[in-house]
Amino acid sequence: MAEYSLNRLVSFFPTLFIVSILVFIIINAPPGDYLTVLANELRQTGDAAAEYELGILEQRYGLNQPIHVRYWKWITNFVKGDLGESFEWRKPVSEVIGDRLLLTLILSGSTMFFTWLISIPIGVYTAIHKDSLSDRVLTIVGFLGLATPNFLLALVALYLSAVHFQVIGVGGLFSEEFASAPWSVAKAIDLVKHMIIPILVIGTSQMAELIRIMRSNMLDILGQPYVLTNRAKGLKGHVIVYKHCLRVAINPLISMAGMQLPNLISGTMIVAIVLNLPTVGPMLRRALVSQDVYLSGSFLMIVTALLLVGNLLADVALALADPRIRYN
Amino acid sequence: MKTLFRVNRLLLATLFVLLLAHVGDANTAYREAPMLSKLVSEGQLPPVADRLPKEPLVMQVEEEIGTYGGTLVNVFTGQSDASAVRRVLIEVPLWFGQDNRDEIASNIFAGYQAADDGSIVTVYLREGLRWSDGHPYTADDIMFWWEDMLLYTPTPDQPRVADSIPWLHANGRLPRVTKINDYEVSFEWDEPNPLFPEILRNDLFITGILQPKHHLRQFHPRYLADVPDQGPEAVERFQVVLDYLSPTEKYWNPGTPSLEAWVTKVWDGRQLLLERNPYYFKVDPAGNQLPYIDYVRFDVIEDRQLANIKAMAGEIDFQFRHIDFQNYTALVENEERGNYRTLLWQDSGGAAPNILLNHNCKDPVLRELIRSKEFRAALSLAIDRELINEMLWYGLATPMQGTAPVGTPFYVEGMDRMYAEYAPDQANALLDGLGLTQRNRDGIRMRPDNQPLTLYLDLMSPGWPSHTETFELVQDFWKQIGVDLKINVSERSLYHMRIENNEHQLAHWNMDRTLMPTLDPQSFLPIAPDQNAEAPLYAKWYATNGREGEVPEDVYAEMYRVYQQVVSTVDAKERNELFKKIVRLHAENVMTIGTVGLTPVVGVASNRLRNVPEKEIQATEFRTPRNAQPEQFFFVD
Repeated sequence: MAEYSLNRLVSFFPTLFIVSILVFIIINAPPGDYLTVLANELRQTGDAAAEYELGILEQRYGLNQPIHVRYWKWITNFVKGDLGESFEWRKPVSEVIGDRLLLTLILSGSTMFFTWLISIPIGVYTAIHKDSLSDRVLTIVGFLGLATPNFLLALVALYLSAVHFQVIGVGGLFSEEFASAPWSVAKAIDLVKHMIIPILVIGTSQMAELIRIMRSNMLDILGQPYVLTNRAKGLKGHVIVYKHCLRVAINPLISMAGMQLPNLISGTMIVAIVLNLPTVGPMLRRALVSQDVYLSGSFLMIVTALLLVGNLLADVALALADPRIRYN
Repeated sequence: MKTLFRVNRLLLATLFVLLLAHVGDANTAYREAPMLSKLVSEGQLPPVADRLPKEPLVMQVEEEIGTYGGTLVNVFTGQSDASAVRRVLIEVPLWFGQDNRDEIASNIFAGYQAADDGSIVTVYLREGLRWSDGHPYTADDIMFWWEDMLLYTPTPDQPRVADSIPWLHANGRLPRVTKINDYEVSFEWDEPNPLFPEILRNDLFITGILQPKHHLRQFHPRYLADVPDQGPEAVERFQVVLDYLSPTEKYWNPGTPSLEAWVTKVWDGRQLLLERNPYYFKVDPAGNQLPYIDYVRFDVIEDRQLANIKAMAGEIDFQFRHIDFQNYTALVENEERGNYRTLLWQDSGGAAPNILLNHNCKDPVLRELIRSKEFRAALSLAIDRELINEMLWYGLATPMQGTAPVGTPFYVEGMDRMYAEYAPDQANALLDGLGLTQRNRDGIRMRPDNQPLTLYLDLMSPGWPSHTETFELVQDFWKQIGVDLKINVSERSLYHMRIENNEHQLAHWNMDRTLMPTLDPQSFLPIAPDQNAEAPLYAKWYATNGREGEVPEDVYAEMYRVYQQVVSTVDAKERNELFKKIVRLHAENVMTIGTVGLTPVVGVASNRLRNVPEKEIQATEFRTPRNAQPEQFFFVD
């Protein structure tokens, strides 16, 4: 077990290094750079900044240097914990991301908690009551949730909340009076209120997926001979289900959770854009589009690191949950 | 009865006295916002009369004298969307006249004087004008901009900023800038630079001249005792100073002195909150110091579409940027619920979109065709502009040829109707006349080299709204005259790159700058190689002073020749008349093909917000909505 984890840890850094090179090359691949993107955008709205203003920025950002020089500068600083400066926000990347990362983690964590809390019982229930009316209804609801694109749901939710209910304003995670305020109890309550819609929207499709997986796993296990044996021995129904079936059926979900860590950051991007959430998703998209290289590069590195860490954690969790893996 | 009369007389007399007092008051004393009076009474601010310049600028109000207070809420997408803020706040040294916008009017500068031949321009500052921190604004601030920002270099091998600014040069030479006294500065060139006064009122060029020396000197290596004047450390320090050459830098740095109506109080990446400038130099006709509104706030939205939804929910007080015409009906439907009104202003542009046929096209057969006026005229006559207007603009735009639209200073009678009627028969006849009579099975005409006449049009993504739809219509129109149009959509940077490399046949652009073409002739004359798709090689020839590109021929040769006269003509009237020659040449020869112009621009204003013009022109030159003068907006309860 320890050896296994260690092995994974050793491969961690070379993987990150290779990813960093790929990331930097891909980000720099589109024609032009941040300034050409900026200039083109300004041009279209007729705001073409005077050439000299752009020339000054070019020097400031070192965009006139060759790519390997810029990469080396970025990665050596990255190792030292300096993620570089965001062109667009004119601030250190860590400062730009920090706040958003926290909100993202809060939101993703709550969403994950919420989806697991609801989907596992439903999955188990529908498996036990296979082909009953309630199974059918819940299955249809689940399929609907899977089939509805997140962003569409987000738009509908946004429209309803903005035009018909007008309780919390349009999207966002805070009311205007709290947006720039320091943290307080009132602000936290405000955040919780605003999180209901995003959690429902992001959670729905994930929930549907989890229910499906949970249900089919349970069905697999319920058909196993040892379950029959349990029954024959006269064990109570809930003991069979929770002690002997659920613990086995949940394994795939644990490995899935590891993959979900980065997904929670970048996967909900479109929903976050639609719902105007100040999370990292929309910022990552903007950074990629505007070729804000240090911001997007550092972002992708963090997401990669999360993926690797997530997998590692999932493996460890799996081993803890399933003795068979531990003793292998 | 008698008593009543007496009372009345008494009342009248009192009223009269009051009235007198009121008039007298307006002449001698100015009034200020309650939040400032409070500070004055606490001794934290000097009285309003001491804060205003000797002669404040009297700003006409749109509807009525306003009342103080409130927060104006706008949205923007963040720091890279600085233009959103700039277009509400910016103050330019000179500005457009309040009654006559052709006039170069005073603003931050009290005025200017140009010598007869235009080689000396003297600017006059407002006596007693102060920065938002109370420090006087004087000629020293201009000298700081000139000597310490534009001419200073921290290392000998770094070029001076001034050298890279073309409009500061007259015939390749920089001016001598001299402080005459605290309120007068002269710019003196060896040769005439007649367009300089125009530049002084155009935010696209000059606004960087407004620099607070007393604030920036703390960053400048020249003024820092512990930093050497030259060397690597100086380079780094100087960079901070250079950032301020962009007029939007101050918005992100609270505490930077400003001359604008509102000054940044908070910028945290989610909200930009600006507070009234207690030293703002404008008053209303009743002597109330402007602005009326206490705070302006810009909320960051993750995507520009959200501006539309927020507007419908009534969360925005005033917004034009990011509000799309496509949402016009939805905006109107939600007016009552959101307690706002939808404003329909008019873009000053001559064509949205403008079809640009590449006169430098690499394909020799096509180039030959494009260079023939009959061919261009045929393509133009085949377009049903009424239909475009009805289908895509609810009939609110104006079908016209791409030129300066009616009602703008450079409008030339009849040019907007030049080959702009829908006459497919005439178009067919013109193409037949060019010898393009053979057609293939699909009815597409064959070129002289026996290839089908297929035109490729480069479209930019994300582009302007309605453009793609317009070209889908044009595809149908041109099919009817046997011309096959194919659309090639590319990403913005790629689009500009393709044009600069002259790889395209046709392209499009909004003909947006038609109000001050003498200064910025791009809508009529190719000067930007990556934008003027109608002749990128001529543009390169112009931009590089003939070192690269292609020497213009025919009509373009004539147009460049006239433009050379334009820029050296001192008399403004004569200069404008000369430029109209270019406008005429451009339209009469169908150099570009316009579709519809004077397109509607949609925006929202809260029903509580007053003094917002119902009708206004949207123009880059005016920095719209800046030309609606938000400092005189106010809230009613």
